[in-house]
Amino acid sequence: MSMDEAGLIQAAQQGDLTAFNRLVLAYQDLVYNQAYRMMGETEAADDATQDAFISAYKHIRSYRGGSFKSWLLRIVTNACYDELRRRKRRPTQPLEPLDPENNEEMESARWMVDPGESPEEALERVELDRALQHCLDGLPDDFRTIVVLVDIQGMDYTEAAEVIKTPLGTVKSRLARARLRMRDCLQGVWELLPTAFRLVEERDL
Amino acid sequence: MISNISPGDWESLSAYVDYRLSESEHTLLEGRLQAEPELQRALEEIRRIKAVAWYATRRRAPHNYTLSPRQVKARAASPLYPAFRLASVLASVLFAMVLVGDFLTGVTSGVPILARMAPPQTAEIQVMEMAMEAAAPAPLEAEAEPAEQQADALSMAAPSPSPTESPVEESPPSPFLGESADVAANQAAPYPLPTQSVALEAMEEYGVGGGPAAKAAVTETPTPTVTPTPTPSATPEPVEEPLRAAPAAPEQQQDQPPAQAVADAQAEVADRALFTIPYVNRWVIWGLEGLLLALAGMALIAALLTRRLR
Repeated sequence: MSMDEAGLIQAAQQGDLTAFNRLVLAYQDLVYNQAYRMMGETEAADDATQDAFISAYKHIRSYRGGSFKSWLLRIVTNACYDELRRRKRRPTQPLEPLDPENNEEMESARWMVDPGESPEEALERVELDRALQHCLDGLPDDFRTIVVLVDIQGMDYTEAAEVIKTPLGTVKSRLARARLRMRDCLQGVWELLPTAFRLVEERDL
Repeated sequence: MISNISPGDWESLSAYVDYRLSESEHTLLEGRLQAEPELQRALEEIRRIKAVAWYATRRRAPHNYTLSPRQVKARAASPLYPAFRLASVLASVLFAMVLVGDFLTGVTSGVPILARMAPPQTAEIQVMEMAMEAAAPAPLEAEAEPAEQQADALSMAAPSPSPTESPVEESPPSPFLGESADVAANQAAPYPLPTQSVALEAMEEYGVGGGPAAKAAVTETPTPTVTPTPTPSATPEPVEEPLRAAPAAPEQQQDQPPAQAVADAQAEVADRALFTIPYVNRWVIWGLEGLLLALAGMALIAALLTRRLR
């Protein structure tokens, strides 16, 4: 934790909203990514991220040091759990955005493409993103959380254990089982991977 | 082609990719990787999964999530909210208390509180009614029993007074219940329980027990000096007259409550008196109800306020 971050946290704990907003700007991509991969929808991720930051501001006085990043990720993960539980009680059909050309729902995620990429790269990334999210959605919530924290957010086991309040051994075994399920799910989309990600014998073929 | 390795090996490989194996485990696994192509294939699969996750995930927030003062203030709860929440809890507790109180005072069973505070005469009438109910099958049993057994029962229920004492003037022991039991019941009950004289008055008042003759039969308790083996040829002795006079008047015998039944009824009333809340101050009830109403109003305001905030 940098001194600047510590000072911002202390100021935010005393009610300084500007200091808190600087922390928001520093962590909003991280928090949004976590919410998006947990929820699988941009709207739901948007709501969860906003709720998480509001909750963080309201409870920042309960922050007792440690990794502020882990503390924020724990808040957004819990917000996602709450929303996922609510959806299981009241399942709804998600709405896809409308294609302006034919006014029909877009099944692919073309509307999320970064305009800076080439069309091939963009298509490849979008398809891969869809496949990944499809496999993540098929995982149990606990498994999905650990995969997102470790493989997507790049946290180590200790940080992940701190976020989800779980022993280190549980994180290790849960991640291994989640990866096993991901492997089975991703079998059909390996051909979408760029050459650098293919297996050695597949590259040799 | 999917690798086929044991779950334990898969977990070790998963930890190996993340550098979470100990030194010895790491060395051992690397040796196996050199020798087992299946293990190496599984390792490649895990690395590929990590690569896919890393490659496909950089996503920026669609907008800034900075909070405005209005946004924070609008979401903040009212400072009175804890008080309203406490009011809701108190209202619930009081509601439960009122329900329990109703149950204990018998209101839920349809008997009003004021009816439970009935004057003592009501209890006496209840004693007599219960005694009459219990005495209904008595004549048949009385006919079957020999007179000697009735005399024994009477002698066991009441100690025999000395012949010199007048049973009426000296407040003799009750033919229905022992004097000590009567006193104990009176002490236990919040109001005096019906004694022998009260019961007799009630019998007269309601025309129960066959009138003065029955009263005489009850009050003038015969001295149980029954001869164990009466000779059939002998003339009836005066001491046996009351006992033999009872079967001679069947209508009186039917109306007269047996001693044991009346004793049971009195004991039952005494038991009820022990478990009855004798006096409920209506101001306390009204105060509780008023407090409950006020708390319910606060809870309603809290609910409306919370809904408005959302």
